[in-house]
Amino acid sequence: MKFSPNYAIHEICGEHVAIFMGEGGSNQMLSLNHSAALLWKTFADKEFSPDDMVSILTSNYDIDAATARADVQEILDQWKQSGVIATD
Amino acid sequence: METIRRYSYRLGGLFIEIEAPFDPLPQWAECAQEGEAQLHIHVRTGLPSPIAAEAERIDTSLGPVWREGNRFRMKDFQLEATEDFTHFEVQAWGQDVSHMVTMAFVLGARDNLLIHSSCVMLDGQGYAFIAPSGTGKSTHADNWVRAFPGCQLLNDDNPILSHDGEQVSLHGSPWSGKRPVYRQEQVPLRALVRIVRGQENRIEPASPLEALTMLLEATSTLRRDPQVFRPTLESIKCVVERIPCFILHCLPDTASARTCLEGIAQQNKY
Repeated sequence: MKFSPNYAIHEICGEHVAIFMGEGGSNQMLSLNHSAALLWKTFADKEFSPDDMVSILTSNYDIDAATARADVQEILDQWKQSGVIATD
Repeated sequence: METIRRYSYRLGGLFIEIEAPFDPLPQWAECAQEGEAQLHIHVRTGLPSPIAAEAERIDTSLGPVWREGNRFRMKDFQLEATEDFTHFEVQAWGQDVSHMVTMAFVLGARDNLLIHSSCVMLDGQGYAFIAPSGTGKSTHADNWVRAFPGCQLLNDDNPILSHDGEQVSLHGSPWSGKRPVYRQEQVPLRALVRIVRGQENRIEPASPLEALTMLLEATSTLRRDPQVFRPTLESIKCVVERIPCFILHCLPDTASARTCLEGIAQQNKY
């Protein structure tokens, strides 16, 4: 899977936000927490899998693989729902 | 044979030159020439070369725009821009050509934002009220004028925000909606306030995301065009990081103006 090219990530007042670059659309803006922003920056313009996401989380945060896997699942559900992930 | 004249205007932080066979902004006084203009617009009358039928339709706050490459067509004029959006050739054939300067400004104005807002000046500072049409921006601005001696309406529909990387300024503009408030003044922007109708008067600071959302919704831009939208976002971020932003839940009364100003003044203390 890949991030939709229609979103661009921005940092504002220390917070990360993904902004939709287009007319219309229901999700114009998506707030990203620290780990979500890290994942987005790492995989922007790249093909990636849930396993890739898990390894980024475990190598950057002090968490085990099971916790990371659960976090990844939660983030992915949210991202797929809001259309920021282009799945084939 | 039509007589072309050169008109010079200051709009927001920009100096603009327009060559046209008619006064393109009769409501706006010209300024003295100040060196090289940032935007150049050449207006001719007559029909333009046709734009393709399959041109992309974009719905903007100015109305529908058809786009083919760097050519933009609205109801009564067509505008062709250079790659860098600094020079515009306009063919005008109808009555309603008022938005040709607006369109050029939205496309080419770096470090300037055309926003949908009603705004006032008080003690040399600017306060901009933002909300969807019909929510009560103008009513709230009027309440400020009533509540505070010396408070004046600066613009009632489409003021301009400019920034130089540090200071953010609020400017009047030649676009002011139903009420013709074409005040050619600029003041430092003190606060941005989103107006929400409520059962009581209550003000709260906006989070960075709320501030970003409210200013983005109020700004005229082309979201689908990165060349236009990226500089817009940079300017919006610059404003939001420097200017206190608030959400005001309010009744249409003069007490709401006091609640608003007190809330803004209070935030200064922390």
